[in-house]
Amino acid sequence: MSDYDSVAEAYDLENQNSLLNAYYERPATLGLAGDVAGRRVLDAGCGAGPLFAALRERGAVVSGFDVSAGMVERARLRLGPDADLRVADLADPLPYGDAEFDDVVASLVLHYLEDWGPALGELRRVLRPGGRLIASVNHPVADYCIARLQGRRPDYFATWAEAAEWPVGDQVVKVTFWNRPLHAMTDAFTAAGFRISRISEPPPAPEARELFPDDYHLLATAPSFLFFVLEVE
Amino acid sequence: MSAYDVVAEAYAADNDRSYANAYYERPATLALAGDVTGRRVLDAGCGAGPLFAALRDRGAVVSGFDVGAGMVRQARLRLGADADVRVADLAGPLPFPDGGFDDVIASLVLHYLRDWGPALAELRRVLRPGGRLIASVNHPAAGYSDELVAGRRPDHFTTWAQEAAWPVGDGVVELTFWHRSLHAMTDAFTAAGFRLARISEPQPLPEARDLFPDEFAHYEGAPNFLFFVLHAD
Repeated sequence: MSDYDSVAEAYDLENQNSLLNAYYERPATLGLAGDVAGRRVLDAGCGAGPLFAALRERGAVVSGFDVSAGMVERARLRLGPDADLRVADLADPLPYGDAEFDDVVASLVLHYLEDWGPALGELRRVLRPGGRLIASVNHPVADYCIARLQGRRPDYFATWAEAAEWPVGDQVVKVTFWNRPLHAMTDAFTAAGFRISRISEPPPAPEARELFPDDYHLLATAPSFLFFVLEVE
Repeated sequence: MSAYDVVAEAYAADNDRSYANAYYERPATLALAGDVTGRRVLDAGCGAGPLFAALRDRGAVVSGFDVGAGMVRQARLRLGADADVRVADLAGPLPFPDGGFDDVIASLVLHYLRDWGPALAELRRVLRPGGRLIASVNHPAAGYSDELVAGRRPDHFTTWAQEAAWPVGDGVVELTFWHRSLHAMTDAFTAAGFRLARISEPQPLPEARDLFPDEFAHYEGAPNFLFFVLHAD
């Protein structure tokens, strides 16, 4: 069972309108994806499906999976019974054929994995030659700087597990983030057969300034997420 | 005149055996360059020529330039009268023909420039198609996290100038470092026609731990320099 199962509904409601997701991560990922009309897109770690929905509205033919059955149920409510949604674990073989997709979107999901190798191997397999992987992760500098500010001396170069819990609705989500340095990310991408097309650190959506006056400034001036556009060699 | 001119001799002696240069930056750059036998290599910002010398020892056909005439004099003392070492400014047009080099090494030099565009265009111009640019710079997380720990809140996403002064021999070198974010670097590389082949965050040589116990302890686990291997598309 996934950590997200028990809070799927509350997490969905939160994620739908949150500064980090709705006004930062999703618009940034959609901006990097660009025109997806007619493209076959896999939403890897789709959660309750808000990105899936946005990609479908833009004309993409979308499939999605998540490790959490509770999240996939929420996604079915949002996307309808005909949506191609599956319960699958990014750490395992994926239930898709070779080269089925033009794009894979891995939105804030890779940092839950200690070892990116098998997952990136699978994402590479289901992409056609020349296809794109668009991935967003916790920014490697963010956690390092937070630890420095707390007076600790973290090892920037280590891959380390950070237990996190945050309130969602009246419950608490407990997850483990696997932090790693920038080069560990880029080396994993290239080892899996991807070339690095773009590294992006975009600003939040402009309307967030008025909607979230307290939190906007920090998000606009401090590293939070890092975005990659990768192409299958 | 370059800020380094007045201290060229002392700087050269310091750089030859320093922790940051001799036991960290140079070995890392040489490792990324790999086998350079027979390759035509341009050492951009060659200083007093220690990297030039190491590349030549490894069989490369090396040219070099530096903005500091005093540094170039020091380089000529080291490398001999026949060495192709010139006084030139990376911010201006370079005195080399199109496509004449297999590799350009830009070792700890780009961060002195506010605008990377013209410099990278020139480095691209003098490289043959498929040639490599190997560049090392101050790590974007280094200055930023130091600022945070000092109680300031810099904007991670702007390009900002840091005035630095450090004692070298009997003199003081006063310099301006231009800090910029990771994506500003990678966007500049791709805009100039380079493809990101590798991002590297290597460690100092193991023997540095015993030779420089204070510096090693100070920098251990902290991002310091960032290295890029770029291919001319």
